[in-house]
Amino acid sequence: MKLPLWRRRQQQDLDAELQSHLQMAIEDRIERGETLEQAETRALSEFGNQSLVKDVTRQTWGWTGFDDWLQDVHYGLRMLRKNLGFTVAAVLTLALAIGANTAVFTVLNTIFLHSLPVHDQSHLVAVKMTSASKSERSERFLPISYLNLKDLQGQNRVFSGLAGYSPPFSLPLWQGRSSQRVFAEVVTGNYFEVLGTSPAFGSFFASGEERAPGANPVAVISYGLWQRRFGGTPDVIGREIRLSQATFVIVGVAPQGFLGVDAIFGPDVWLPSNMTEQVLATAMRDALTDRGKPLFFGVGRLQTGISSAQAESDLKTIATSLAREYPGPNAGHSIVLQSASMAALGPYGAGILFGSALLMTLVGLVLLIACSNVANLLMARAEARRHEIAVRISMGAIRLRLIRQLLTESMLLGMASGIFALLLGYAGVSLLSSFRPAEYAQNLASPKLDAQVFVFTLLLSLLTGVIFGIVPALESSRAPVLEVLKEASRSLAGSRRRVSIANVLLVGQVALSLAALIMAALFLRSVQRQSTADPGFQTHNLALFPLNPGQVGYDRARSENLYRRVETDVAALPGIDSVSWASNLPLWERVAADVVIEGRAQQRKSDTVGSVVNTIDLNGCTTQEWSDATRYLFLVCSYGI
Amino acid sequence: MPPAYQNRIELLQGTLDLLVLQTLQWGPQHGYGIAQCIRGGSGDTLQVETGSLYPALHRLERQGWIVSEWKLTDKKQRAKFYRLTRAGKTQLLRERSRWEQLSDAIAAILNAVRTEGEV
Repeated sequence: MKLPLWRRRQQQDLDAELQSHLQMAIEDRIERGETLEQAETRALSEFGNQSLVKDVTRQTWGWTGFDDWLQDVHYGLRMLRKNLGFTVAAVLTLALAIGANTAVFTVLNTIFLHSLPVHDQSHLVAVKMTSASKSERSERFLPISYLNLKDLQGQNRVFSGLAGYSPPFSLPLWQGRSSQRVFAEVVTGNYFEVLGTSPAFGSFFASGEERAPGANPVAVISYGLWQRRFGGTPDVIGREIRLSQATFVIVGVAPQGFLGVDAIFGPDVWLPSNMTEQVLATAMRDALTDRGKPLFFGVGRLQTGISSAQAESDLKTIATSLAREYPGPNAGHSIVLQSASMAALGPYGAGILFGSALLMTLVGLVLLIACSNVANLLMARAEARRHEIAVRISMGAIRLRLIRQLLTESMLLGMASGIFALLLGYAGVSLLSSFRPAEYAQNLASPKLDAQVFVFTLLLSLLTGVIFGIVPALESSRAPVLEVLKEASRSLAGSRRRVSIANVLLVGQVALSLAALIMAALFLRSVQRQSTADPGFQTHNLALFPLNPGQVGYDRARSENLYRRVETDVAALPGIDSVSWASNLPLWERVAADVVIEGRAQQRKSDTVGSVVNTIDLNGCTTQEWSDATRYLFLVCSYGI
Repeated sequence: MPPAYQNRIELLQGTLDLLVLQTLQWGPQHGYGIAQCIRGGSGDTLQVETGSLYPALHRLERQGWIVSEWKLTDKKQRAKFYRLTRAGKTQLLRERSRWEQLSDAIAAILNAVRTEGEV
């Protein structure tokens, strides 16, 4: 730690000046007949405390704050090097705690704080439909059917653009005779334009170019798919890909990290809405013409000067008139707006928010524990440093300066921990990322240690240094100088107060640790109980195989055939005991809306009785139920026990 | 401390600048010389602490009232000599008149007290 050159010159000049002063004083005394020894002693004592004289003189130069700080850092580093054992223990403790905070923050930063890679996010709002029926406990957000969306687009006076996007659905991407599952979204032609995103490569769908259904077989692929599947080569534009039963021409590549409106899960492919019929499952093929088949979530860009509340009331008016005009599909439904950042969290936004807050609290608690731990170590060390500090006070050190010195030391500790914490945080993030299901890890947001995380860790480290350093610094700078200096050997008398503060720290630490321990135990216990809970049936030796022929356009007859054939073929395999198809799995929620109570006539759509349908063994079921299973059917096999 | 130093008095705050400037009026001088001059001139009554002198010198230099230069003394020793500038001379006049005002005022008060006490 060196001062800048001009500062050092200035210091040397002062040293020489004071030295010449002393020299002249000594020579004068010798001339007056004193011996050399006498002269030196008297001149020195007359001169006074040399370092103090230098200090007060330097203060007239200005800039001494910086010099002192450099000195503090220099001294702090020396002390840390001298007490290597303490330093290592403290740095490890803090690095673990700060690292945990870094890792969690990195993930949350990716999900919440990272703005969508779009233009001016503050003017974006999500448009959703709600079923405002009284029978439901809470509002549910529903997609909007294509025809309703068209009406909203045409009639609203608040958006400069309103686009729609479907939730991601899976599709087979063919390569020769083998296929790979990819996720796709159908979006309206103006989707990318409303979001204000520019392609990494090629172009996006041309807005306003709503051609006839099926007439626009183009696709925009995600950056990830471009890299994985096409090796990131620029000649991907214009290539054909076969999705489900249609062939698409790639027109563009989305920018890196672009997941759409969603912050957590993004598709591999975006397809224009007029291709809905070619790619959606059989039951949703008429989504473009049936007002009762909700498919799109809306995202709109507010015109300048229009508030979200104004926009919502305008859209609600349109929704009311739509409900009057088409009572069948629209009765009891209204429109709500959500901020784009909330909509980005998807349907479980509130849960994710709560979980994140809990997680952040937990790692914060761990950091507090680590802080009080290190503060205690510092207190113990302060006991050993009493003598040093007493000497420094007697040499004229001001208390504030001492506190600053001690705080500099603890902040240095904090910074050192921060550096290790970044490494640990990186490892932590990789660990958390590895928990993502491998089948669609590339569709999930990937947390990255970016500048924001770096700043977060830096500030947290400094703050940590202040938090764990302030109490010990205040305490040890209060050393009763004479008492300490007179103590021939260090006794513990007179340090009662110190002990009581250490006790407070210890009690706090135990309390926090206990709270964290109990929370951890409860978490583990509930996880354990969930995995050992008795579902009421045998869970061993069961294999599951989900199948969705409707997705690739199988009609009812073909699906039925396939189901029967698979069942017989699988049953014939050696080792298989029994086989059955199920429309749903136990403990899975699959809401059906077609349960009607006898004798109670259904007047409106909102009178529907919400229920969970769970059909086990479709062997005896009618074909009606076969075709109703628009999603997956599950083949359940039990094998050799 | 030798008994000879016991009747020295601490300098009144703010007067050191005046004394330093006044001393330099007679020509360039180094820190040690200034201290000796003030002590000698006051008949060993005024003690100038190095801890006050050097901050004062450096402060006066920063304000441009004196400038410094390394030169050889009569005894061929290197020392940092301070010299009064034109601005320093003006400042000296200002400080002197302020000091005279102050000492007159104090004297007036002290005298007034004595007369009142006699009544």
